[in-house]
Amino acid sequence: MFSNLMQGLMSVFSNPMVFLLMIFGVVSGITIGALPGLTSTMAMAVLLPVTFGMEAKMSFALLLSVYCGAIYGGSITAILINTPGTPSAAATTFDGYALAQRGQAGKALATSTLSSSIGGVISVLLLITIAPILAKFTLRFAAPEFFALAVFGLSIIASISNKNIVKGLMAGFFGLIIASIGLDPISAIPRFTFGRTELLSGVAFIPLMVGLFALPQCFVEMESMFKEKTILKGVHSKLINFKEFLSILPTIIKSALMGAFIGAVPGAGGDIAAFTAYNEAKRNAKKDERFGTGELKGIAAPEAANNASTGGAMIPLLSLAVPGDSNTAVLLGGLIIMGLQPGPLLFTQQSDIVNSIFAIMLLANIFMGIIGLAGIRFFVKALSVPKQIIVPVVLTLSVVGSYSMNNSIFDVFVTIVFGIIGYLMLKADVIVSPIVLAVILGPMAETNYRRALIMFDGDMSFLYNRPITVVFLALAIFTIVSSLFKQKLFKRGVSR
Amino acid sequence: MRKLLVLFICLALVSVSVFASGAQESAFPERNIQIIVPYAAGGGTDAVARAIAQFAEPHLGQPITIINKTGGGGAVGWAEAAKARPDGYTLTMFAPNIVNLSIMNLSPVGYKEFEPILMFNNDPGTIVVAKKNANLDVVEMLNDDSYKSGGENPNFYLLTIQAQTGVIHQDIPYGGAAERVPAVLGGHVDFAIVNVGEAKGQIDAGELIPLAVMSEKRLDAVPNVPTLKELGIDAQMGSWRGLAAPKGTPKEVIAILEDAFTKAANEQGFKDFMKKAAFNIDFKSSADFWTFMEEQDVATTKMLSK
Repeated sequence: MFSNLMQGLMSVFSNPMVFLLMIFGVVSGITIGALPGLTSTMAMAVLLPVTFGMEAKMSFALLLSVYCGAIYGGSITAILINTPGTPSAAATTFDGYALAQRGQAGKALATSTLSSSIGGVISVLLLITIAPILAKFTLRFAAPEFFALAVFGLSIIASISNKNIVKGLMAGFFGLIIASIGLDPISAIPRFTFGRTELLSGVAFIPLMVGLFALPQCFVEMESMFKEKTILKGVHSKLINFKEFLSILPTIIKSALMGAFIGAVPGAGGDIAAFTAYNEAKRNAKKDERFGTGELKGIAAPEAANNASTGGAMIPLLSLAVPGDSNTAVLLGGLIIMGLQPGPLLFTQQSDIVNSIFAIMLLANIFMGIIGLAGIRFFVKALSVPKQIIVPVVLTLSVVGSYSMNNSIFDVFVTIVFGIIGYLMLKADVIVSPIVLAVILGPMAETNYRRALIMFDGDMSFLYNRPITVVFLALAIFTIVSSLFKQKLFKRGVSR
Repeated sequence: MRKLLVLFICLALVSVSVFASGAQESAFPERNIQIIVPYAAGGGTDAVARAIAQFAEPHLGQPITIINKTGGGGAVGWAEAAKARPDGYTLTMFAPNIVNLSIMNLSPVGYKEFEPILMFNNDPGTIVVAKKNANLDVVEMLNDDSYKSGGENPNFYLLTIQAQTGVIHQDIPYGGAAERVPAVLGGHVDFAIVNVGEAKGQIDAGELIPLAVMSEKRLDAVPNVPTLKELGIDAQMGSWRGLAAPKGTPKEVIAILEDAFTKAANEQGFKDFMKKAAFNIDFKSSADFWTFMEEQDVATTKMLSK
């Protein structure tokens, strides 16, 4: 297995151009990922035609570096300005932003960088060793399994909103209603579109997310930005020490394994991986660990998981030719244009290119870690920029980002509407993350539940006679019950 | 003599300016052209658009930009393109949904709001089953309603077959080929109808077995696979792509575009790209493309009214 990796590394090392492309790719990936509204998919799709003329190895060096870099980049803005640059970083805002607000942005960024890099490396190692087995396993996911996975994901709403579960559920159900807009996924009947063609495919996700996270934050800052000196005091770029690193390492490894697995399931990507890992880390929290207030593990878990999902997503792509998400769909296009047909034969007939892909992904994750750590000193400077400058910049980027997603002014209105909704929710102390989870998972749950009903002619026994389904549904119930229990304990503690 | 010279110069100037303005009229295009792709970057339609753009630029002498405007199965992008000024500077990529959506009342615009320029490819539906079903007789399977299919809703491929056989299979709704291929591989459905390019990796590896193709003639990509027509079921349906301009674009402009894009499409580089990506080349001129869509319109309307 690892001799393949060595061969790949050697063929990559033999060409310095590959290195330059990778560094360019990682840096531009991080930048694009950090900017709200600009996504890795967009960047890869734009770069794809540029790579037409290149040798396959070079083309992948560029595309994969952008992919890995962008997933990590999303965490930078999540930590610094509470605005996830990509959907995958939404779960990082909980503890990342809290820690940055306590003046320890350096620590938060270092945790996210190391977790992302290590998570990515672990997933590449998994990709090399067990790709064919894992690919076979994910084939066992039929509609009932996908439904159960989605329900489990939705149950995390209870866990991330344990300050007030009712408010969390309100946000979750609001998200589910939003998710039902558009063409019904099974019978293709328009729902709640009010005759607007733009709504036929539902509310676009990126503009919605930018609206929910970036705009409310700006509005809140605007309230106070001329009143007082709003520069955070005592920001230091101190990184984490070795002891802290050791304490989060188990979380990183566990989250990376979960992330790689979830990434390997077609249709589930970095966003679900991050929330699931956060949920798991929180569930295992020790007594003195307070998730949501700047706990290092709360940053490590989602960041390790979302970067691990990159290696995971490559598994069905390379071994089944099935793209699990939009990023790998672009990569699939790239592979085919280069005359490489992913599938079971790729590993035997084109082992050279497969080995190079392994090596490139491994190196991209390592470069990402180095570049990220070196950049922290500069990233934290964003916090000392006066709010009067930051706020307009973020507002502009948000609007441009939501427009450029689909060259659509309608999407800009979506952003603004959800910005206002998000602001009102912030004022009412309702967290917005459940909306994100519901919008991602609602359609997955609905489609697969209805598909399963069709498959089994309306017989609902699939809910309890399929092992994988049962495991996920049991996990979902467990998550909800334990959250309720914890909330009770928490309330009792407060009343005392 | 001098007067004569002045007159001559004047005449020359006038004729030059007349000639120049005449030349200007036929000088389309004088700025960049944009192609609205109604599907996401990285997908099949997008790939064809970007490839043809690359080869057409030298023939038109102007850069071509691709704009992805997704949503509503293509309706959003086409609605935008139909509204564009019909001057030949805004074009769009066509796919079967340009015909289908308006029949189903899911799009405000249909192919009649456009002038076709050129059709590039037509990938026939290919019936695939998992390895363990390799020995199935496809005609028997299509005539036995106990086999389950996985397809998009509405599944035009299957509807076309059912119109011939009269047998209604249970059709479990799946999204694109990315969902249908694993469903067949994992044994969750018995068969699916995809384009060869979408399942080539699995077909080459012997994991998916193509049983029949829904075209007039056999496919170069899988020459051993019979057509359904050969097997006695005359059902033909494919997924095609082409280029069109908004209705009202001047005839001369359409002619220039058709000429340039036809030249580009016939370049070896473009053909190589299509072959690599396993797209089945089927060039149709502007007029033939129109007739083709009219036929599709009639057939699909008939199918959906059943």
